[in-house]
Amino acid sequence: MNNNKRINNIIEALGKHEDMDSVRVLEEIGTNSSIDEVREMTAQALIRKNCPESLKVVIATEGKGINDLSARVAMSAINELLSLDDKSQALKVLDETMENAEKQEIKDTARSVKTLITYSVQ
Amino acid sequence: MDKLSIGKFNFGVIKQLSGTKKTEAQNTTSAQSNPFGINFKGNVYAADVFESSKPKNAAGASNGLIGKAAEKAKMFTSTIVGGINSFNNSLKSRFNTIISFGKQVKDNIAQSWENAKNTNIEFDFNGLKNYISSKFDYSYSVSNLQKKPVVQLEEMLLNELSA
Repeated sequence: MNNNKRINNIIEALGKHEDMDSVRVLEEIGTNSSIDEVREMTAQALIRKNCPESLKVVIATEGKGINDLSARVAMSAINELLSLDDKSQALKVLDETMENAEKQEIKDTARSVKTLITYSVQ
Repeated sequence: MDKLSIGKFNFGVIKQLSGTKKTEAQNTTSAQSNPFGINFKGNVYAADVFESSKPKNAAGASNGLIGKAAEKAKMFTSTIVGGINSFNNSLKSRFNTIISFGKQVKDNIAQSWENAKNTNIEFDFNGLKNYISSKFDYSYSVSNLQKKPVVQLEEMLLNELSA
Protein backbone atom coordinates (compact mmCIF):
# COMPACT_ATOMS: atom_id res chain seq x y z
CA MET A 1 0.00 0.00 0.00
CA ASN A 2 1.52 3.32 -0.99
CA ASN A 3 1.74 6.50 1.07
CA ASN A 4 -1.15 8.34 -0.63
CA LYS A 5 -3.50 5.42 -0.10
CA ARG A 6 -2.64 5.29 3.60
CA ILE A 7 -3.19 9.05 3.99
CA ASN A 8 -6.51 8.76 2.15
CA ASN A 9 -7.61 5.92 4.43
CA ILE A 10 -6.66 7.78 7.63
CA ILE A 11 -8.54 10.93 6.53
CA GLU A 12 -11.56 8.83 5.56
CA ALA A 13 -11.44 7.03 8.91
CA LEU A 14 -11.29 10.36 10.73
CA GLY A 15 -14.26 11.56 8.69
CA LYS A 16 -16.27 8.50 9.73
CA HIS A 17 -15.03 8.51 13.33
CA GLU A 18 -17.65 8.95 16.06
CA ASP A 19 -15.33 11.03 18.23
CA MET A 20 -15.87 14.70 17.34
CA ASP A 21 -12.24 15.37 18.12
CA SER A 22 -11.64 14.02 14.65
CA VAL A 23 -12.95 17.35 13.26
CA ARG A 24 -10.21 19.17 15.14
CA VAL A 25 -7.56 16.81 13.72
CA LEU A 26 -8.87 17.20 10.20
CA GLU A 27 -9.00 20.97 10.52
CA GLU A 28 -5.58 21.35 12.09
CA ILE A 29 -3.66 18.87 9.97
CA GLY A 30 -5.72 18.19 6.83
CA THR A 31 -6.99 21.64 5.84
CA ASN A 32 -3.66 23.29 6.68
CA SER A 33 -1.64 20.88 4.54
CA SER A 34 0.44 22.32 1.74
CA ILE A 35 -0.60 19.45 -0.54
CA ASP A 36 -3.71 20.15 -2.65
CA GLU A 37 -4.78 16.51 -2.67
CA VAL A 38 -4.69 16.30 1.13
CA ARG A 39 -6.77 19.49 1.50
CA GLU A 40 -9.22 18.17 -1.10
CA MET A 41 -9.61 14.83 0.67
CA THR A 42 -9.97 16.56 4.05
CA ALA A 43 -12.70 18.93 2.79
CA GLN A 44 -14.61 15.98 1.30
CA ALA A 45 -14.30 14.02 4.58
CA LEU A 46 -15.55 17.00 6.62
CA ILE A 47 -18.53 17.57 4.32
CA ARG A 48 -19.46 13.85 4.36
CA LYS A 49 -19.46 14.04 8.15
CA ASN A 50 -22.39 16.42 7.64
CA CYS A 51 -22.40 17.92 11.12
CA PRO A 52 -22.45 21.69 11.97
CA GLU A 53 -18.87 21.67 13.35
CA SER A 54 -17.34 20.05 10.29
CA LEU A 55 -19.47 22.10 7.82
CA LYS A 56 -18.47 25.35 9.48
CA VAL A 57 -14.82 24.55 8.80
CA VAL A 58 -15.34 24.12 5.05
CA ILE A 59 -17.98 26.87 4.57
CA ALA A 60 -17.21 29.68 7.03
CA THR A 61 -13.41 29.52 7.38
CA GLU A 62 -11.19 31.60 5.18
CA GLY A 63 -8.88 29.64 2.85
CA LYS A 64 -10.54 26.30 3.60
CA GLY A 65 -13.11 24.16 1.81
CA ILE A 66 -15.20 26.26 -0.57
CA ASN A 67 -12.97 29.29 0.21
CA ASP A 68 -9.72 27.50 -0.66
CA LEU A 69 -7.32 29.37 -2.91
CA SER A 70 -7.00 26.31 -5.09
CA ALA A 71 -9.90 26.25 -7.57
CA ARG A 72 -9.68 22.46 -7.69
CA VAL A 73 -10.09 22.10 -3.91
CA ALA A 74 -12.92 24.70 -3.78
CA MET A 75 -14.82 23.14 -6.69
CA SER A 76 -14.38 19.66 -5.23
CA ALA A 77 -15.83 20.89 -1.90
CA ILE A 78 -18.81 22.55 -3.66
CA ASN A 79 -19.42 19.38 -5.66
CA GLU A 80 -19.38 17.34 -2.45
CA LEU A 81 -21.92 19.70 -0.87
CA LEU A 82 -24.16 19.34 -3.93
CA SER A 83 -23.98 15.55 -3.73
CA LEU A 84 -25.10 15.37 -0.09
CA ASP A 85 -28.34 13.48 0.46
CA ASP A 86 -29.36 15.63 3.38
CA LYS A 87 -28.51 19.26 2.62
CA SER A 88 -30.43 20.82 5.50
CA GLN A 89 -27.37 21.15 7.75
CA ALA A 90 -25.32 22.63 4.93
CA LEU A 91 -28.02 25.20 4.07
CA LYS A 92 -28.27 26.18 7.72
CA VAL A 93 -24.51 26.76 7.98
CA LEU A 94 -24.54 28.66 4.68
CA ASP A 95 -27.27 30.98 6.01
CA GLU A 96 -25.31 31.60 9.21
CA THR A 97 -22.17 32.31 7.21
CA MET A 98 -24.04 34.78 4.94
CA GLU A 99 -25.19 36.63 8.01
CA ASN A 100 -22.28 36.41 10.43
CA ALA A 101 -19.10 36.13 8.33
CA GLU A 102 -16.64 38.95 8.82
CA LYS A 103 -15.35 39.03 5.28
CA GLN A 104 -17.59 39.88 2.36
CA GLU A 105 -15.75 37.47 0.12
CA ILE A 106 -16.77 34.54 2.36
CA LYS A 107 -20.37 35.79 2.43
CA ASP A 108 -20.44 36.01 -1.37
CA THR A 109 -19.06 32.50 -1.76
CA ALA A 110 -21.64 31.12 0.70
CA ARG A 111 -24.41 32.91 -1.19
CA SER A 112 -23.27 31.49 -4.53
CA VAL A 113 -23.08 27.97 -3.14
CA LYS A 114 -26.49 28.26 -1.56
CA THR A 115 -27.91 29.40 -4.91
CA LEU A 116 -26.30 26.40 -6.60
CA ILE A 117 -27.75 24.03 -4.00
CA THR A 118 -31.20 25.59 -4.33
CA TYR A 119 -31.14 25.25 -8.13
CA SER A 120 -29.84 21.68 -7.92
CA VAL A 121 -32.64 20.70 -5.53
CA GLN A 122 -35.38 22.09 -7.83
CA MET B 1 53.61 -55.98 -109.95
CA ASP B 2 50.23 -57.54 -109.45
CA LYS B 3 47.21 -55.57 -110.30
CA LEU B 4 44.56 -55.27 -107.67
CA SER B 5 41.15 -56.50 -108.72
CA ILE B 6 37.88 -56.88 -106.89
CA GLY B 7 37.55 -60.45 -107.97
CA LYS B 8 40.80 -61.37 -106.41
CA PHE B 9 40.11 -59.49 -103.19
CA ASN B 10 40.02 -61.69 -100.15
CA PHE B 11 36.83 -61.00 -98.23
CA GLY B 12 37.98 -63.15 -95.38
CA VAL B 13 39.91 -60.26 -93.85
CA ILE B 14 36.75 -58.09 -93.74
CA LYS B 15 34.82 -60.93 -92.20
CA GLN B 16 37.48 -61.32 -89.58
CA LEU B 17 37.48 -57.60 -88.80
CA SER B 18 33.71 -57.44 -88.59
CA GLY B 19 33.74 -60.54 -86.39
CA THR B 20 36.14 -58.96 -83.89
CA LYS B 21 34.08 -55.75 -83.82
CA LYS B 22 30.94 -57.76 -83.13
CA THR B 23 32.47 -59.62 -80.20
CA GLU B 24 33.73 -56.33 -78.73
CA ALA B 25 30.25 -54.83 -78.98
CA GLN B 26 28.77 -57.91 -77.34
CA ASN B 27 31.25 -57.66 -74.51
CA THR B 28 30.49 -54.02 -73.91
CA THR B 29 26.72 -54.62 -73.86
CA SER B 30 27.14 -57.56 -71.54
CA ALA B 31 29.28 -55.43 -69.24
CA GLN B 32 26.73 -52.63 -69.18
CA SER B 33 23.60 -54.70 -68.65
CA ASN B 34 23.05 -57.20 -65.88
CA PRO B 35 22.05 -60.47 -67.44
CA PHE B 36 21.27 -62.05 -64.09
CA GLY B 37 19.12 -59.44 -62.50
CA ILE B 38 16.49 -56.80 -62.84
CA ASN B 39 16.78 -53.19 -62.07
CA PHE B 40 14.19 -52.09 -59.55
CA LYS B 41 14.25 -48.51 -58.30
CA GLY B 42 17.97 -48.26 -58.65
CA ASN B 43 18.69 -51.51 -56.75
CA VAL B 44 19.93 -54.52 -58.59
CA TYR B 45 18.49 -57.73 -57.30
CA ALA B 46 20.31 -60.87 -58.27
CA ALA B 47 18.08 -63.56 -59.59
CA ASP B 48 20.51 -66.34 -58.71
CA VAL B 49 20.46 -65.75 -54.98
CA PHE B 50 18.58 -68.94 -54.44
CA GLU B 51 20.48 -70.91 -57.05
CA SER B 52 20.31 -74.47 -56.04
CA SER B 53 23.58 -76.24 -55.35
CA LYS B 54 22.17 -79.40 -56.90
CA PRO B 55 22.75 -79.79 -60.62
CA LYS B 56 19.80 -79.54 -62.87
CA ASN B 57 18.76 -83.05 -63.74
CA ALA B 58 15.87 -82.25 -66.00
CA ALA B 59 17.19 -80.64 -69.11
CA GLY B 60 13.77 -80.13 -70.53
CA ALA B 61 12.50 -78.38 -67.49
CA SER B 62 14.96 -75.51 -67.85
CA ASN B 63 13.73 -74.72 -71.27
CA GLY B 64 10.04 -75.39 -70.70
CA LEU B 65 7.27 -73.46 -69.05
CA ILE B 66 8.09 -74.88 -65.63
CA GLY B 67 11.63 -73.60 -65.89
CA LYS B 68 10.48 -70.13 -66.84
CA ALA B 69 8.01 -70.11 -63.97
CA ALA B 70 10.75 -71.19 -61.58
CA GLU B 71 13.00 -68.38 -62.85
CA LYS B 72 10.24 -65.84 -62.33
CA ALA B 73 9.53 -67.16 -58.86
CA LYS B 74 13.21 -66.82 -57.99
CA MET B 75 13.24 -63.27 -59.28
CA PHE B 76 10.13 -62.43 -57.35
CA THR B 77 11.48 -63.94 -54.13
CA SER B 78 14.76 -62.16 -54.63
CA THR B 79 12.94 -58.87 -55.02
CA ILE B 80 11.05 -59.46 -51.80
CA VAL B 81 14.20 -60.42 -49.92
CA GLY B 82 16.00 -57.37 -51.26
CA GLY B 83 13.04 -55.20 -50.29
CA ILE B 84 13.05 -56.65 -46.80
CA ASN B 85 16.77 -55.97 -46.52
CA SER B 86 16.41 -52.37 -47.60
CA PHE B 87 13.43 -51.96 -45.27
CA ASN B 88 15.47 -53.39 -42.41
CA ASN B 89 18.28 -50.98 -43.20
CA SER B 90 15.98 -47.99 -43.25
CA LEU B 91 14.28 -49.21 -40.06
CA LYS B 92 17.66 -49.64 -38.39
CA SER B 93 18.74 -46.15 -39.39
CA ARG B 94 15.46 -44.75 -38.02
CA PHE B 95 15.84 -46.70 -34.82
CA ASN B 96 19.38 -45.39 -34.50
CA THR B 97 18.07 -41.85 -34.87
CA ILE B 98 15.43 -42.47 -32.22
CA ILE B 99 17.95 -44.09 -29.92
CA SER B 100 20.39 -41.18 -30.30
CA PHE B 101 17.54 -38.75 -29.61
CA GLY B 102 16.56 -40.72 -26.52
CA LYS B 103 20.16 -40.73 -25.33
CA GLN B 104 20.33 -36.97 -25.83
CA VAL B 105 17.11 -36.48 -23.85
CA LYS B 106 18.38 -38.76 -21.12
CA ASP B 107 21.68 -36.85 -20.95
CA ASN B 108 19.81 -33.54 -20.75
CA ILE B 109 17.55 -34.82 -17.98
CA ALA B 110 20.53 -36.17 -16.10
CA GLN B 111 22.33 -32.86 -16.47
CA SER B 112 19.23 -30.94 -15.30
CA TRP B 113 18.91 -33.24 -12.35
CA GLU B 114 22.56 -32.66 -11.45
CA ASN B 115 22.03 -28.90 -11.70
CA ALA B 116 18.89 -29.14 -9.58
CA LYS B 117 20.76 -31.21 -6.99
CA ASN B 118 23.55 -28.67 -6.82
CA THR B 119 21.16 -25.69 -6.66
CA ASN B 120 20.39 -24.55 -3.16
CA ILE B 121 16.69 -23.71 -2.94
CA GLU B 122 15.61 -21.64 0.01
CA PHE B 123 12.10 -20.52 0.76
CA ASP B 124 12.07 -17.16 2.47
CA PHE B 125 8.91 -17.22 4.57
CA ASN B 126 9.69 -13.92 6.22
CA GLY B 127 10.13 -12.20 2.87
CA LEU B 128 6.90 -13.72 1.61
CA LYS B 129 5.08 -12.64 4.75
CA ASN B 130 6.41 -9.09 4.41
CA TYR B 131 5.48 -9.02 0.74
CA ILE B 132 1.93 -10.20 1.42
CA SER B 133 1.51 -7.86 4.36
CA SER B 134 2.76 -4.94 2.25
CA LYS B 135 0.30 -5.83 -0.50
CA PHE B 136 -2.61 -6.45 1.82
CA ASP B 137 -2.04 -4.09 4.68
CA TYR B 138 -5.26 -4.52 6.59
CA SER B 139 -4.00 -2.39 9.47
CA TYR B 140 -4.50 0.62 7.17
CA SER B 141 -7.99 -0.31 6.10
CA VAL B 142 -10.66 2.30 6.87
CA SER B 143 -12.68 -0.08 9.04
CA ASN B 144 -9.66 -0.90 11.19
CA LEU B 145 -8.55 2.72 11.40
CA GLN B 146 -12.00 3.80 12.59
CA LYS B 147 -11.60 1.59 15.67
CA LYS B 148 -8.40 3.36 16.71
CA PRO B 149 -8.49 6.48 18.93
CA VAL B 150 -8.33 9.88 17.23
CA VAL B 151 -5.03 10.73 18.94
CA GLN B 152 -3.41 7.67 17.39
CA LEU B 153 -4.87 8.53 13.98
CA GLU B 154 -3.51 12.05 14.36
CA GLU B 155 -0.03 10.67 14.97
CA MET B 156 -0.34 8.30 12.05
CA LEU B 157 -1.48 11.08 9.73
CA LEU B 158 1.39 13.32 10.82
CA ASN B 159 3.86 10.48 10.27
CA GLU B 160 2.51 9.74 6.82
CA LEU B 161 2.56 13.40 5.78
CA SER B 162 6.11 13.85 7.02
CA ALA B 163 7.30 10.64 5.27
